[in-house]
Amino acid sequence: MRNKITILLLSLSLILALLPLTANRSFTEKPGKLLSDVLDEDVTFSVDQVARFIVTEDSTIRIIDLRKPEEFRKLCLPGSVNLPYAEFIGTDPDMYLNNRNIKTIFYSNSDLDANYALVYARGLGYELTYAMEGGMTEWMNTVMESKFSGERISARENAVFEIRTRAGKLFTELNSLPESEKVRFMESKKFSARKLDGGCE
Amino acid sequence: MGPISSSFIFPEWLEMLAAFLIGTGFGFALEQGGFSSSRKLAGMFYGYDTTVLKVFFTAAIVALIGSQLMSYLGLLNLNQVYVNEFYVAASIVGGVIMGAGFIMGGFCPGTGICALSIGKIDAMIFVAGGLTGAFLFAESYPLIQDLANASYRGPVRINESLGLSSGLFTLIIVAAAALMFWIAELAEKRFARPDITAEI
Amino acid sequence: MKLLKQYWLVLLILLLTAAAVLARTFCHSIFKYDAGRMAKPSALKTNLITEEQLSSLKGAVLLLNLGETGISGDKHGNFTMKVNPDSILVPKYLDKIVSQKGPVILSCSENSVSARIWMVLTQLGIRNLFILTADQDPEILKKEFRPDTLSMPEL
Repeated sequence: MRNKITILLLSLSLILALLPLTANRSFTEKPGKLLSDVLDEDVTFSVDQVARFIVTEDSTIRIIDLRKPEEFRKLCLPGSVNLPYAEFIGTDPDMYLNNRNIKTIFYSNSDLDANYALVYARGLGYELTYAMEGGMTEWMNTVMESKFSGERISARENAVFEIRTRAGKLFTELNSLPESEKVRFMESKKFSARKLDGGCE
Repeated sequence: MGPISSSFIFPEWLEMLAAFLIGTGFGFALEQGGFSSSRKLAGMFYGYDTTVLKVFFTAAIVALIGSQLMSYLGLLNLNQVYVNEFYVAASIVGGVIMGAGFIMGGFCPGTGICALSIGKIDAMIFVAGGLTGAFLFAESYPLIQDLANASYRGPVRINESLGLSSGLFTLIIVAAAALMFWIAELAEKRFARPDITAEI
Repeated sequence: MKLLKQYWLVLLILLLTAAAVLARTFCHSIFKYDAGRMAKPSALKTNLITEEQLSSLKGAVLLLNLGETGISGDKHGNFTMKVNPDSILVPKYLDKIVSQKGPVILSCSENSVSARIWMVLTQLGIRNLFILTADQDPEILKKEFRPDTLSMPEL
């Protein structure tokens, strides 16, 4: 019996020694399901939708900026947090995506990094992750350069225009600050948001 | 069920039941192996009985091989398995204290509870001593925290610090274990105490 | 023969384990690689390629046109395969991609779709996979922002 167990354990460990094993973190979703999930229309938000979240300070949304820190310091969406894409894929995403009740929206300068991050996060099982369509480029083109021309405006167009104007104002105010002031402002905004959530104490 | 693949979602009551059954099985196996006898445990240090080495090391190897294979086959997420944080100084000092306690008391924490469950009075005193030690540690923590937190290395895996793949490391451990068991059996013959081993 | 009878259970366990391990090793329709390591080319931007750089690629190229259907080839061994993004994992297409020895280029009018398909295929272990882009680095912001120093946010 002893010999059998010894031979079995030695043989199994020999099989293991021949395998390319690493302590890895691989996608947990099945490929077919992941593909259909990430090709669904509902995995992205338009810049108008993100603008609305920013203006209403929606606390069920977290916006993650995947660009480099220097780009983030220079220009960023109000309420966003910086997590460079290289760092995102190099570390355990649970540190950033651990609250599974909050929707996380990734954005970068265009579509690539945000969509890589979207698939990466969903592949690892984080379902409430999304990408902002077009990134900062689309934000600048659509929200910041929003103009109304013509004599008449429908109620719907008016609502969109108003959100863009308010979001653009917040964006301009934040990004016009010197960098040190910007950091302080974003910290104070976070603090006041928590105070509001606290309720009667 | 912790790191078992997220393909399997178990209700909480089932996880608690599984934990209870695993614990029951562990206690049963310890008692069945005779580990509630302090003489058997002390025999590891005096050389006349190396059952402790063989049983615990075999269990560790089976867990090592099983977890590696299950991880490769996608059934277990090894990144969710907790890896102890390594504090060099605390490990050495704690190891010395635990080793001394083990040989003096004839129990380790797990086997102490196992022996306690069958009503052994020495095990009761041992476990009470262990709990007292834990309490004293907590109360004196401000005085010893520098030592407790010294030389922090993080949650290291041995194979990573040696630059080996986990599979190759497993093979080395299994081969080393086979060699150790053979040496242990030589030691049992050399340091035989038939007066004790006949009774345990 | 006697030895076989004695060790039949050991041999059975070993054979089953070896079969499971081999099946997993050579299966391309499951995710089994380290996600961060496989995604690294996207962080380094080494997975992007422009039209000008296409001609400098070595080996027969497989161009995947996402959004249409059909396969065609040329005399240099280059293939163009048109496939809908949601059919990319169909064995007919996936086997062709997996067996491709040279580079595989993803081409789509929307970079977002290319990026998602790239990540899914890369995580299945397919290497040498590139995204055809108009710019060398589409992630560079080309728009300027003019700060308004007169505006002050409410603190």
